[in-house]
Amino acid sequence: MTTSETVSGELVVTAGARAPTGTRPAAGAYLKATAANRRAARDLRPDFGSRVLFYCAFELVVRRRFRCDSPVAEIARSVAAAARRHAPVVVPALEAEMLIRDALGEAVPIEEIPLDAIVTTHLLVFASLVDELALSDDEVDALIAEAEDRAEALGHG
Amino acid sequence: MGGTGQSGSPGALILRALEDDCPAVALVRLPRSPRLVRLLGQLFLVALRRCFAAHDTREITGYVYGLLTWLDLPPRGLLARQSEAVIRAALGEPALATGIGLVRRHEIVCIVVGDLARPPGPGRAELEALVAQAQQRIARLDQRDVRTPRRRRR
Repeated sequence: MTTSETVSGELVVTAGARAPTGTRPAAGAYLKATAANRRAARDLRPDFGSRVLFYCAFELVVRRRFRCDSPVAEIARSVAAAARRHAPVVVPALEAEMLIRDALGEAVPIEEIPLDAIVTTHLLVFASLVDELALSDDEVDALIAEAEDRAEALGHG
Repeated sequence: MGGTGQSGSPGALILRALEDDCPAVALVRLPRSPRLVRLLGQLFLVALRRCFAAHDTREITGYVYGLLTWLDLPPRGLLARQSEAVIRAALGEPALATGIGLVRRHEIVCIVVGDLARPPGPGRAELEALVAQAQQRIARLDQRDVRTPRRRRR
């Protein structure tokens, strides 16, 4: 994942691609740090299993935040908020919106989205929606645990 | 502003291209003079506003899918997202299209305007009326620019 640190201290999840580990606990901890807006204990290069976990967590929080028929404008506002919240990292607006709508079950054009844009969107929109929903630490833990279960059920735990 | 009746005018060129078997391709191949590009842009805007103003954005996604499928172009990838971005930009979300180059934007405008002629199509009279409306918009924009000239930089 392309990484950077924020100047304002908003985003502290970033870590370079220096430490080549991507185990499930590391990915879960990375997600939690993202949501809590603090620095992850270790760098993470998301392997396939980690990316599946990120997707599962993203899908869960998206479905908690939006209904299938939520206005697209409302989704776009949340994407814009995520982009503002993590300003030094580029959140691709339309791609992020499409990934959210895809997670809601809509048939949308999501082919050819670069992998780094997908991972960035999953992580940063997850963090932003957790904030929009005002989830407590315990609720975030439960959400990540549920995502880990889903990832495991998919064979990527 | 050239009227649609003059054979070499931008309006006439566009109407002729819309009668082609592949209108989008014919439009892309027209000489890209500033007047023609401007008229195409306004025609794009007029057509979109008449079709999609006050509609759910999801209808645009569906429209783009149908359009690209009709043209045998990939309907689920980058072109689809760029097409939706250019359309939504014209309808009031300009930021969505900021990363899209002028050439690609022009191609998308041609694809959408070319779709006006998709069978059964609205007929020659309605197409002429749309072109005339686009020309009228340009004339009004020009009048407005004359009335409120930009302040010169010192």
